[in-house]
Parts: sequence; structure tokens; C-alpha cells
Amino acid sequence: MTVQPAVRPLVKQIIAALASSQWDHDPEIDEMEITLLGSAGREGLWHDVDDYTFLRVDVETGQPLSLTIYPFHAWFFEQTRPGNSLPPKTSIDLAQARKHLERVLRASPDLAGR
Amino acid sequence: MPERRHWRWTEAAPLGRTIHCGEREWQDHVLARHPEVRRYEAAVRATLRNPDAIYDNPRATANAAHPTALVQEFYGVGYTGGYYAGKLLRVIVKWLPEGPGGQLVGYLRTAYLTDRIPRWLQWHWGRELR
Repeated sequence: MTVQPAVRPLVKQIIAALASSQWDHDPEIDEMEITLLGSAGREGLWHDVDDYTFLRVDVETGQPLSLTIYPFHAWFFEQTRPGNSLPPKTSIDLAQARKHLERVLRASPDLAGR
Repeated sequence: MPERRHWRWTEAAPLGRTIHCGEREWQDHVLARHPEVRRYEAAVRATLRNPDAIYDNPRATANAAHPTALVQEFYGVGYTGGYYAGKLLRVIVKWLPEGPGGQLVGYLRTAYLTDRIPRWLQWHWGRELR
């Protein structure tokens, strides 16, 4: 019988924090910055979740601080229509984006063991 | 029309181009979002003057707000230490054609400390770092 591993603690923590996160989009370069509650001003260590998604964790406590998705439209398009390389200029449903982000975090090999 | 603003600093980039860093971008975008980059301001400037590599970001360019904007990424190697040892300095620049000749002028948008260069970026200048 295959035992499913428990959701990793850090990923679980990030997903919980997404519920009260602040999403800020920079249209000049299509960057989405997701600030997790109470993380302003904290210095972070960067971890590449995948080619689009970057996680910052507190250098001292290891608590998740923020996520950056860049470029945001290309990332979203790849989640919803993989194999197509050119993203359309469309508005994005952030609730749907959050669901995709949670899936990416759960599947990330770079967060394995954390 | 060229933007007329107070620049925190301006750097001469390769190919005879100019890159401006606005006070607002540095404070509200770089430091507010990524405060650990504060100690690397001199390295950010050095990376713009003398990058190890420049990559085109066609996916960011495709969705940039300005229809004629070009988004590029400047990478600097060997600037980080301590907690950040081994990280690449990644500086994102938006270029806009300005003036009668349409010469490209650059504007710093943000800066990160990163581990790797996305596979889909297109090498443009300098050393291929991947």
C-alpha cells in the first residue's frame, strides 16, 4: 500500500497564509507580488519554486514572507493552457490564480522536505 | 515623451544606453518588497553598468502595460555573501523608445536574488549563464 506523504509544513503554512495575503500587480513588467500577512520589512531568503514563482522566507525564522510570480500572465496561461507559449492580454480571476498557485506549491520538488 | 522625474541614480549600460532608477521604484518596489536587496544597491548599479549577462524576457514584454516596452533582465554574478552566498543578482529593466530617434531608455523596475535563470528567457548579451 502506498502511503501518501503529509502536506509539507512550509507549504501548508503558505497556503494558510494565502487566505489573508495581499496581491499587487505591476503592469509595467507583469509582476505579481503576493505579500503574506505581517511580513513587511522583513529580510528574506529566496527560493525558486519554479521558473515563474519565487518564495521569500524570513532569514531568521524561516517563516514565509512573500511570493513573486513573474511574469504573471505567462504563468497563469501555462497553468490553464499548457503548451501554448504566448499569453493573451486578458484579465485574470485571482481566486482561480490562487487555486493554481496552491497546486504549484504542493507539487514543487524544490519545496520537498521543507 | 521621456519621463521627467527625479532619479535616484542613472547608469550607463552596455551598447551606449542609459538606465534610470526612480526614487519611487527603489523605495516602493525594490525595498518595500525585497528589503534584503538594500545592501546590494552598489551591486545593482554595477550589474547594470557591466552585466555578466542580459536576457530578453518575451513573456513579460508580451504583457507589459506599454505596447512598445521591452523587458530585459540583467544578471550579476559573485556579488552576494553570507545568507545570500551564491545567489545571482537579477535586475529587471523596462526599455521604452524615446525621443525623435526612438532611442531606447531603460527604467529599473525591480531586483531579486535568485538561484537560476528561467529556461525560456532568451540570451541577449554577455555570457550565457545557464
